[in-house]
Amino acid sequence: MAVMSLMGRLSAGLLLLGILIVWELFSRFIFPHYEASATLILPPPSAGLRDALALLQHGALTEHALASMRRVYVGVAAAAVFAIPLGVVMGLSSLVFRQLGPLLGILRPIPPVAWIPITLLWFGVTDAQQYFIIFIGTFFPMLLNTIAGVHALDPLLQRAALSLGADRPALFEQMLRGALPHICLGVRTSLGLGWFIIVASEMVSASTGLGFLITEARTAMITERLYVGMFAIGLIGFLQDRLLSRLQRRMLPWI
Amino acid sequence: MRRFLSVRVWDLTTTVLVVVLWEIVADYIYPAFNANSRNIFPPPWAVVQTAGNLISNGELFHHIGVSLLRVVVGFSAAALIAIPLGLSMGAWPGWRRQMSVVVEVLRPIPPFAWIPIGLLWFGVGDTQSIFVIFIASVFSILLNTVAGIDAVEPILRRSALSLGADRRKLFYHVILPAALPQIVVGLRIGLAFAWMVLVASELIGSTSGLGYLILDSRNLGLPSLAFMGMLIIGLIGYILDIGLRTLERMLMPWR
Amino acid sequence: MDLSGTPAVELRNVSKTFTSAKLGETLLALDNVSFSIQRGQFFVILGPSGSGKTTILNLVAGFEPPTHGQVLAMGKPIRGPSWQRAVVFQEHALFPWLTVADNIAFGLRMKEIPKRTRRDKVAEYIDVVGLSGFADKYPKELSGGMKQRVGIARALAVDSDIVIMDEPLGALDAQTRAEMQGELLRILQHEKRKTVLFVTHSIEEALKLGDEILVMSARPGRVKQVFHLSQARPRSILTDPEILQMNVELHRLLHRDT
Repeated sequence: MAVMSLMGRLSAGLLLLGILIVWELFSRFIFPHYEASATLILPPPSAGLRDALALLQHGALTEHALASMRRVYVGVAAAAVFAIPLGVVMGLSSLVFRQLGPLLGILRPIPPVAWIPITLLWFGVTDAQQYFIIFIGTFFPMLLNTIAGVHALDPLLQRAALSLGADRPALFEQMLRGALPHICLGVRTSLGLGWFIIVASEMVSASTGLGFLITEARTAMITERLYVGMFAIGLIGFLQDRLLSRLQRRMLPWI
Repeated sequence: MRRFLSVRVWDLTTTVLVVVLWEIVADYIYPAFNANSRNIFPPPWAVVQTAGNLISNGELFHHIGVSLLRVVVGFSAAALIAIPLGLSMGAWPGWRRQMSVVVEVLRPIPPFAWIPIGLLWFGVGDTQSIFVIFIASVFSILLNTVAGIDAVEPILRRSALSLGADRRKLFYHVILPAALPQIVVGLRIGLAFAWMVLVASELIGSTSGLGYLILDSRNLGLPSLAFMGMLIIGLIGYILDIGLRTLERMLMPWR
Repeated sequence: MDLSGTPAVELRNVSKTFTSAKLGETLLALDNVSFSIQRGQFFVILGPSGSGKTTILNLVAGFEPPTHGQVLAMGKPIRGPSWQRAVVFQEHALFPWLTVADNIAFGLRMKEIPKRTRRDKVAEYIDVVGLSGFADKYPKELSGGMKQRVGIARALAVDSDIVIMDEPLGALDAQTRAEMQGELLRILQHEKRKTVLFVTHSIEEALKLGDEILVMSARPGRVKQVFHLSQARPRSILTDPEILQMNVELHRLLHRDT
C-alpha cells in the first residue's frame, strides 16, 4: 500500500520532470542556435542548481534569507502589538469602531508597496523603512481578523459563562480564547503577506535580503541567480506556512 | 468590512480631527523644528493642491490610463487562460494531478519576485508590467476555478443526470454555473493582487503609470505628490473591487 | 412486442458490497434482494437506516451498478442514470442558479424539447404543484415544503415511466409533512398510471401512500416481507381495521430489528 502511494505521488511529478528536461535540453542545445544571448535570457535549470550550491557554500544565500526573515518577523511582530489590541477594542466598542472606521477605510486599500516612495523620503534606505512597509502591509489583515473574531463570538456563550458564575476577568479570558482562531488566522495571513511584500520592498530599496539578491542578479545579468532567488523565496514562504499550520493545529486543536 | 464605508456624519469626527491636526502640525508645529519640513511631511492642503495641478494639466489621467490599461490586459489574459485551464483540470483528474505539482512549485513564489525576470525578458515598459500582472492573478483564478468544480455538490450532478443530462450538458448547465461563485472569488483576489503588483512593477521598471508617479515624487522632492498618488491608487483599487462585486451580483442573482 | 406485462422495475438476486479504501473492509449493503414493481404502482420501500433503502434507490436510478444480480427497468438492464427514472431527492437538490420555472424546465431542456411546449408544460406543472406566482423566484426564497414541490414538479415534468422518491418529505417539519402527503396524492392523480418508487422510514407515510410496502431488514439489507394494500386513497390509517392491523405488524417488524 505504502509503496503504491509513493509511486503514485512520484508519478504525479512526471509533467514537472518533463518540463524541466525539455527546458534543459532547449536551453543547452536548441535556443543557442537562434539567439546569441540565449544563456542570458534562459539559462538551463542545471545552471541555477550550480549557482545555488555556490551561493550556499559561500554563505551568501543564507545571509540574505536571514536578513529578509528578520525584517518580516520584526515588522509583523510590531504590527501585531498594535493591531490585535486595537482590534479587540474596536470589536467590543461600536463607538471606536465607527469612529476609526472611515480613517482605516481610507488607508486600507492603499497597497503596501505604494508606501515605499514616501517612507524612503522619511527613513532613507534603512531597515526601519523595511519594517514600516511590513508593518503597514500586515496591520490590516490582523486588525480585521481580530475584529471579526470578536464580532463572531456567540453571545449565548457569554451568557452561559455568566450563568456559570464567571466574573469579568474570567469572561474576558474566555472571550479572547473565543476570538483566538480568527486572530491566529490573521497572524498567519500576515506572515505570508509579509513575506510577499518584503521581496518588493527589498527590490526597491535595500542592500541585503533575497529581494535585493534577485534585483542585483538582474542588473549583473546573472539570470540563473534569479532562478535561485525566486525558488528560495518560494521555498521559505512554503515552509513557513507549513510550520504555521502545524503550530496552529497544536495550539488550537479544537478548530 | 463593507461597513467601513457606510458611515453616518457623526462617525467622521475622528477622521476630520486627524486631518485638521495633521494640517496644523505640518503648517505650524513641525516647521518650527525642521526647516526642511515641507519636503518631508506635507499638509493635507498641499496634497489637494498637487492633485488640482495634475488634474488640470491632464498628467494624472494619463498615468491612470496607462496603469489601468496594463491591469486590464494582464488580468484579462490571466482570466482567459486560467479559467479554461482550471476547468480542464476539474474535468480530467490525471491532468489535474500533473498540473497540481507544477502549480504547487510556482505558487509560493511571490508575484513581485517575477519582476526582475520580467524586466530581463521584456525590458522596461508595458510588457513587463503586463507579464507580472498576469503571473500575479493567474494562480488565484486557476486554484479557485478548480476549487469551484470540486465544490459542486454530487447530488446536483446526480439530479441533472437523472433528468437526462449527458456529459456535455452536465458541464454547461450544472458544473459551470455551480462553480461560478468560486471563480468570481478567484477573479476578485486576482484583481487585488494584480493592482498591488502593478504598483510595484511600475515603481521598479517603468517610466509611466501611477507607480512611477509616486516614485517620481521622491526624485522631485514632492511628498505631497506621493500622498496624492497613494490615495488615488487606493481609491482605484477600491473601485475595481466594487466593480467586480457589482458584476458578481448581476451575474449571480440567485445568491 | 407487447411489454405491458413486464414489470416497471425488477431486481433479480441483487447484492451490493461497498469496499472502504481506507480500512480495507467490505460492507454487504444488499444481500440477494429480489422484487418487482408493477406498472402504475406506488411502491414503498420501508426500513430502518442501514437497511439498504438508499442503495436500492441508487441502483434503480442508475447512479451505481449492482455487485451481483440484475436490475431491470421496463425489462432492460439499467446502464446509468436516465430521465426515464427521474429522482426526487430528500435534500431537494434544486439548482440554486435557476428560478422555479427553469428548475422545472431543466429536464425538458435536456431532452431538447421546443421552447413553446416547454413553456406550456412548465406552466401546467407550476399549477399542478400549487406554486402559481412563484415561477420567477429562486430556490433560496422558498420554504422547505415549496422547494420539495418544485423537486416533485421537476421530476414529473420530464414525463418519465418511473419516478423515484428518496424520503422526499423527510426534511420537512411534521405539519408540512402531513400536508405534503395529501398534496402528493393529489398531484399524482394528475399523472396517469405513473410508477412511483418511494423510499421512507415512516410507517405512517407508507400506510397512507403505498399500493405495496416492501419491508427491509438492516445489515445486511434483505427483503423481510411485502404487504399489499388495496384501500382507496386518501386513507384513514386510524379507523380501517385492516390498516390498523398492518400498522401493528409493521411496528413489530421494524422495531425488533433495531
